[in-house]
Amino acid sequence: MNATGPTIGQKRRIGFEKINRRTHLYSGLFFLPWFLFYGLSAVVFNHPGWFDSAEVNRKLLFDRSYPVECPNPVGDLRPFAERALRDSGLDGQFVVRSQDFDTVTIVIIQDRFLSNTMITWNSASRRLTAARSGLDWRKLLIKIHTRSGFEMPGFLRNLWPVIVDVIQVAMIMWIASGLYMWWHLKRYRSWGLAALGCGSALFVAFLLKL
Amino acid sequence: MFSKFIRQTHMYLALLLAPWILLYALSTLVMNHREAFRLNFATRLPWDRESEQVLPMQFSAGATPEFMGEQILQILHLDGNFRATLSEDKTTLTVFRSEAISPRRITYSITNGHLLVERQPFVTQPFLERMHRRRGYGGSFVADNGWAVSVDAVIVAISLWVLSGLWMWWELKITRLTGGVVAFSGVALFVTLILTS
Repeated sequence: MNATGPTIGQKRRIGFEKINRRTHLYSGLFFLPWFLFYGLSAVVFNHPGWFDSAEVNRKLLFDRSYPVECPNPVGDLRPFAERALRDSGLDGQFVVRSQDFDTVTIVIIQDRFLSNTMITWNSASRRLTAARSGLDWRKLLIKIHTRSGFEMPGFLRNLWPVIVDVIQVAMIMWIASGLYMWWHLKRYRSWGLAALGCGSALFVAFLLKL
Repeated sequence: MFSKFIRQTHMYLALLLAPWILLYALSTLVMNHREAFRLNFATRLPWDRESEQVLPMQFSAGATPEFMGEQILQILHLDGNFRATLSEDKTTLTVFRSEAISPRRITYSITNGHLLVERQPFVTQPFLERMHRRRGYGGSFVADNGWAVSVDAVIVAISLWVLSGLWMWWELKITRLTGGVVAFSGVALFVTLILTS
């Protein structure tokens, strides 16, 4: 810096550094819950033995007569499921399948982050039964970690994978902006280079040995 | 002093584990758009013949596919994480050696000792997904358990980055208000999505 203040080039660099730091900070703060949960939920996958995988008990929501015509168990079951859910005051996405033994049983599953609802209808009893599992932390962590893809209907459902994409871009950006910040802290260059070199060498060694 | 320690831990951990974070970010993007990469996924990839030989070996009646697979891999100097299956008529052993860069498939005829080694070409998307899914202890190979340790290191690092990031933000008084609004917005959106979908 000279007596008349910073040059245009220096001003630009200072401006860019500020934008870089603020972007790193604010994007980190906004995506903090996702990043934290991605980390925490990875424990379930790396240490499956630490978690009890037993089914959580389901609580009965209702068990009532539902005298409708039995759908073709090998045909399109979705209209039946939609109607049964609508008539029961349950909405949202579902998966439906049939079990055809002596009688036909239609099983509808509604799987959400915090609960899993199973609705069954049997052609002999003509009864509709719904049971819902409570909060299961292991399953919640798995769902947060694995939910992806754009195949599901609904705005909020599709917002999740959009955020997943944005977070990955943010993570790549954190690496780039972090490298930039480190490189401009000259006194940390050599130790930083050692850390970066060791990490990269270890990673490449894993790729070759795994 | 403490602040300096926090800042340096945040930075050096990030420099050390940057390749892992890059891998997880790229692989998640690929997995989030699996439909776009469908043609490249492992089950559709060809197996290219690498070598063929006769390897006369006789296994005891009760030998498991895992034991047979391990012995064959040792002879071929291809030790490492694998999965082995025996055909229903117990004449053909298939060993899938899940190497990180390019997996191998070894098909061994127990009746005549014919051994075929095939390799899948390197394709970015399946490679990223394979590496993303690789985790867990309990294998008999040092490299696999070492990778599981590195996954644990990333988990611990993520927690530390979050905590140290919050600390650094709070120290920077000028960003407290905006940062607070941004952090609150993120938490609110996250909670809304968890509760409603």
